[in-house]
This record gives sequence, structure tokens and C-alpha cells, in this order.
Amino acid sequence: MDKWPSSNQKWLSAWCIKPVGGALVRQEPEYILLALMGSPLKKIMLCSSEKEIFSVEEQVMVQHSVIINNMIEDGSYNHEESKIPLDCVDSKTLKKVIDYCTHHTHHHNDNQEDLEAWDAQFLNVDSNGLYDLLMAANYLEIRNLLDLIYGTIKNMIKGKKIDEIRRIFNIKDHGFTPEEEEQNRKEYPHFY
Amino acid sequence: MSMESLPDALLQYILSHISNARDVAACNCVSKRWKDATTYVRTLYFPRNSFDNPSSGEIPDNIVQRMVSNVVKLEELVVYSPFSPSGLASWLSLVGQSLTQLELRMDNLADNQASRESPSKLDCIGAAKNLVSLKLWGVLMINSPKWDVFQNLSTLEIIGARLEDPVLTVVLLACPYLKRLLLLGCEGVRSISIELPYLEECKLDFYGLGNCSLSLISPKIESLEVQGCSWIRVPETGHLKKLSISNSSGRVYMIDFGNLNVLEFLSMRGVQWCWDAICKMLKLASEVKHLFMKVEFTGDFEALQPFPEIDFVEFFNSHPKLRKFDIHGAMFAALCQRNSLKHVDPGFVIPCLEEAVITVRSPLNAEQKISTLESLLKYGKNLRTMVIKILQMKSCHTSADDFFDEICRLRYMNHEKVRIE
Repeated sequence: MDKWPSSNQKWLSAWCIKPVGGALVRQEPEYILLALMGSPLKKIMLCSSEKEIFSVEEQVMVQHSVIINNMIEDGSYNHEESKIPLDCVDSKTLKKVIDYCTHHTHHHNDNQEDLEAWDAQFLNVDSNGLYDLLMAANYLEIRNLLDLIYGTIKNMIKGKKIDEIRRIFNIKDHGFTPEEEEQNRKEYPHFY
Repeated sequence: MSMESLPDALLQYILSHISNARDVAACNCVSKRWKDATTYVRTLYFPRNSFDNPSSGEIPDNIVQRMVSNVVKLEELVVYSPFSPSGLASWLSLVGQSLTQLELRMDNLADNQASRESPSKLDCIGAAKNLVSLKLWGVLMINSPKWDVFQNLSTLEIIGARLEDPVLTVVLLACPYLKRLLLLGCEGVRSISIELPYLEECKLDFYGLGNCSLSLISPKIESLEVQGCSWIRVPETGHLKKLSISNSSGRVYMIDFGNLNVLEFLSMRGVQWCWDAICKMLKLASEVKHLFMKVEFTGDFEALQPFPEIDFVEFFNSHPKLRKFDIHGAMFAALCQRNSLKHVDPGFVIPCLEEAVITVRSPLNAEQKISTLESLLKYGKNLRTMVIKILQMKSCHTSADDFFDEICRLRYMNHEKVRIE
């Protein structure tokens, strides 16, 4: 809630949040508030490079993506008619990014272990998929997803032999001259 | 699209955060592009076993030098693997200017010969002029290092050292801007005077007979932990919030502190403290919120004496802000005297106490002890938890069983608050 636009924050501080009847007790306060306000959860439209439209809760994207947060705050996004075009992100990747942001918004109170397990499962993709996620997270400036992916990449490198690293990262041409490659193998024979 | 097409900037960012030297070396060989990216590595860490299986025949010092030279602006160097003074000198000649953090396993505690080598490993460190943090393990400091002043050094940690007083003095003179000083597991110190005007945190742990003397003049000091001193003088204590004094081998006999108006945490531990020192400490720490007391005996000389009685009411009245109270064995027994609870002023209250941890060791004076525990519960209006730890009671004595039963009864009567461990 700290990352919400300031206009939303003013609403929240003016209202005392109370559960209303048994059915609402289990819901998170944000939803009670907005339900009481009588307006549905605000949604925004994101458009992938394949021109597919994804509808997602505004607060979810605003919490995670600096780019989208800025667009909404400075008013360049019109809720009634606009969609945000994301030409560098394909549908498959965009769906995953939305998945990540939505889960972390709705489950931010979960314990650390559960969140980490979910993250590990989420990043269980091949290196191309990881690359696509990295580029999307970089473009949208989603800090926590970026840090997560950086950590995963580092772990993919740690302790591995060089041939393995080349295979994982799809490096077909290492760019060394034959003499350089031979020199490397001489200096670090147990890394190959 | 694949990882190969990762933009240079992202590749550099990712690889610059890899610090384990083995992984950096591997990245250097993966591809030309990766080798270019690893020049931006910020930290190089060589674990203890880095060179355990040398297969290339190259000496470790040179391997480290080669890796260090491949980096553009190394900020942190950590070397736990063995090295020589000349190796260290060669590395620091390459990165001495950019290096801000240096951590070395010196491993020359057992060496008496090495101390004659010139320049020594310690001398070589002087080349890293811009260090902000220096951490050394296993150092022999019996010859003063030839250091200029480290203008930026704010943290110095020496763990496991054999020192001599004049050498320590020279070392501290070279670090006048220190904010954090840790000397742990240090042997050989007899008497040390520290005058560091910016020091905020100080942790000293001296091995030996427990009879070191310490004088610390650092007006900004906020946290001080001392183990192994018998004579401690800290006149400027206007900012001191956390203080811990312990002596597991010697006797604490002289405490000379300034006002402890902002002290929040006080820990007094040891085998033997002079009664005068205890009283003085408790009197100065009138504002303390968390108190930990574990001293076995008192006595001004060699002979170990039991504690005189401490008046319960007076004790809590003179520490009105006490929130957490941790007291052990002999000192708790001293608090349980028969008279202080006989005529208690009806207005008496222990206002802030929320948590109490009492460790009992003997069933002697069981009735007084139970009565004191009950008083804590009765007068501690805000007491939420009381933990009673029962340690090493000689259970062959029937009174021990009775005492234990009484404690259980106390627990039963106050089960929300009292817990036994």
C-alpha cells in the first residue's frame, strides 16, 4: 500500500477499515474499502507485441512496475480508452510477468519460505524463457523480479564448468582465438 | 532470443556481482564478451581452499595477481587462502588506490620467524591507502607496522591475534578516524589506552588472565563490549546506549565511568566483581531498560565472597525504567533477602517491567526465593512474561524437590505469564 499513488493513500487514511459482516472478514482491507466505495477494482489494459490485450488490476502493476506507475501518475494513461502498448514483450512473457506481480501483491503477507518456493517454481523455465523475462522486467523496471532473475542467473553460473556454462547460456562462439582458448585451458584445466 | 543477445550493460551488471574467485575465473574463460564484462567485478573472494589442488603449476600469488589485474576498479578483496608478503605487495600495487575493503587471513600466529621478514604482510597493507574497512584474521602483531595514517578507515576488525601493547598503540594511531573497532580473541594485551574521537562501536575481547586495564576516551561511543579487563575507565559516556562488561578469568575491580544517562542496555557478567564496582555500575545505570546480571561472586581480593543482600524495593526504585530483567543464580539469591519484602510501601510498583528471566541454581532459602518471585509478579503490573530457568540443582537434596514443586505451583497459579525452562 505504500507504493499506491498518493491519491489512493489519501482515501485510505480517511477511512477506518472495519469488517462488515462475517463474509467480508476474510477479505483483505483494500478490497473491503474499494467494495464499500462502490467502484470495482480499477483495471488497466496491457497490449503485448502480438497485439493481445491483458486486463490487470491497476494497483498490482503500479506496485511493481516503475514505468507503469509513472504513466498512471502523470496522467498519460486514460482508463476509459487507452491500453499500454508493450511492443518488446510477447504474450507468453507478459502473462508470466502479470502472474508474478499479481501473486506478489495478493500474497505479500505470506511467510518468506512460501514466497521463495513460489518464486523458484515461477522461474523454472528454460534459459530463453528466462532471458525474455529478464528483458521484460528490465523494460518495465520491476525491481524485485529483476533482482530475483539476477540471483538465478548467478546461481546458474556458480560452481559450473565452462563447457556447461556455455551450453546453458547458448554460447556457440566464445570469441577467443585458438591460442587464447588453449592458454585458458592450460591455466584452468579443472574448469573445463 | 537467448542469453547470448543479452545487452552488454545487463551482462556487465550481472557478472559484476559475482565475487567468488573461482566463478570469476570460469567466467573469464567462457567467452571474450564475458571476459570483458568481468573487468567490472567489484569484489574478489578467495576461499581457504582456492588453491588446494594446483594443477597448472602456477603459484597462487601469481594467480591472484592475474585475476586482480583483470579487474578495472576492484573495491573489495577477501583472501582466506595462504599468501606471501611479496604476493600481497604485488596485488596492492595494482589495486591499492581503488580498494576500500580488505579482509585477509594472515595466519601467522604460530610464526616467530615470519616476524623478521621485511617488509611483513602487515607492513604491505599500508599500500591500500584508501581503505574504509580492514579485517584481519590470525595476526601476529609484535612488531609495529610501518603505516601512514589511513585517512578513510572507519572499521578495523582484528580476530585472533597475539599483540603487544606498544604495537596496538601504533596501529590505533594510524587509524584516527575509526568509527568501529573490534579486537576479538586477542592475547597479550596488558594495558591499553584508546583515544579515538569518532569511535561509536567498540568490542574488545582479551584472552589471558583477565587483568587487562582499559582506558577509552571516545566521546561519541554508543556501544561498548569488554571482556577480560579488570580496570576500566571510560570518562565520556554521554552517548553510551549499550554496555556489556564481562570477565570470565579475572576479577573486575575498578570501574570508572561518566554519567550513563542514555544507557539502555547493561550487561554485567563474570566470575568475580568487587562489590564497589557492582554498586557503582548499578547506580550510574539508573535509566537502563534492559539489565542482564550474571556474576558469580564478589570480594575485593583473591577470596571469592558471596554477595551481600540487595534490597528488592530499593533496587527497583532506583531503576524505574527497567523493562527487561535477566538475573542469574548468586545475584538473584542476593535479591531475595527476608527484610526488604516485610514492610513494603503500598504505593510501591515496578512500573515498566515486561519481561523477567530468572535463573536459579540452588534450593537454599527457597522460601525467600519464591517470595521474591511472587513479589515480581505482584508489583510488576506490566509483567507479561517470566521465565524461570532451573540449572544444575543438586537433586539429591530433598529440599531441591520441594523447591521445584513450589516453582511449579507458582507457574500453575500464573500460567499466562510464567514459563519454566
